[in-house]
Amino acid sequence: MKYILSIVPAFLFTLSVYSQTHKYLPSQIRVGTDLSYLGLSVLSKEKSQFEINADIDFNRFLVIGDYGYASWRFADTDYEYNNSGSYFRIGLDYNFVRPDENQNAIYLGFRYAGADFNENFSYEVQDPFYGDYSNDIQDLKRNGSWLELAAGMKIRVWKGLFLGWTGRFKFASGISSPPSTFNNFWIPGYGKTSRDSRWGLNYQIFYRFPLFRKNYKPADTAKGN
Amino acid sequence: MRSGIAFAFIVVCLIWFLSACENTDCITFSRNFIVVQFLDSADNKKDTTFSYITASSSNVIFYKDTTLSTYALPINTNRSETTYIFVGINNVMDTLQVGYISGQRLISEDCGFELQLRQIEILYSSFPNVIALQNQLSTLNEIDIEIYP
Repeated sequence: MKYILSIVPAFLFTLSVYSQTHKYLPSQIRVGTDLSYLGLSVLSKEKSQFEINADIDFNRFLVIGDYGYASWRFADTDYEYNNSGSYFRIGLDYNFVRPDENQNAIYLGFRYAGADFNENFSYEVQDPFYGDYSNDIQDLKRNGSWLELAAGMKIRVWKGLFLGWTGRFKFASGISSPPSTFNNFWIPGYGKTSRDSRWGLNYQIFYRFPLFRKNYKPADTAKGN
Repeated sequence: MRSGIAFAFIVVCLIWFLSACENTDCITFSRNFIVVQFLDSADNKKDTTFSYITASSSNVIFYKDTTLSTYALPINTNRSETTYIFVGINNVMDTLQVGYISGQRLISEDCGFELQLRQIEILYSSFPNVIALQNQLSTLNEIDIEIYP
């Protein structure tokens, strides 16, 4: 225990010194959420979605992690559809803005995304030849995955607060599912599966938590890294 | 930096425009009846007369005292097979049992859902020669099953 107590401060000091000189040590972690999803969840009776976004910088590279939850329920006179589940994204962005104290970002990157969700579909059929009937397909547990190309920006607006957006091109979606006669309709985080690719847009707010302090020299800012 | 933000703004507008372009048209190609055609040995359409045509799971007579070469027969979407009964003018009865998978597809929240019938196969037939032409029932296809009586 004594050994650990003595080595931890030494390790932290070493990291601190190292971070002053080594550009690939992360300076911060940014955590945020999507504002439009919050608005959607408040205004819509059918759809709700919540998403947490985070990134950590390694010089010009940003390692991305997102986690979200979404649900969608809608119905008509002869059917009812219900879908809810969680999703995640992990990926890497390249920041075109030189690292400085502001840590603004204009970036391009890719993501791998996956979703774990549950679909329910019940319907009624009016059949004049064989008689009316109804069917209830419940608890259809499915997994989805897809890839994304992402571009966007995060701009520091006040102290540790950032505003930004991310545009996404989602493609190469796949579904794994138990055998069912009901075709998958929607994947949380991806959208409707009627097309092979989808566009998406997030309006985000972030707050940054400093990790390792870095000295950004004015000369570096002028010359670039 | 200003030019970068302006560029980013244009990109956002473009993506927004593209994402808003999705139109939820209610086009569907599926149908819930199977089309059978009677042919002679030379593959010509053959008008065939039946006193009536029905299905074993239905109380409805689909055709009565009809002479046609092509018949559209309703499918029982609540089951995985339908057995059709063809009764000729001399009370000669033939049966045709068709198997399939009845699936459901939600088109959109505005357009509702459709039933899709796929993996069409002939399970049994008392006709001498019956050929299933299609794997899935679709309005894009004219004939699903050919019968050589």
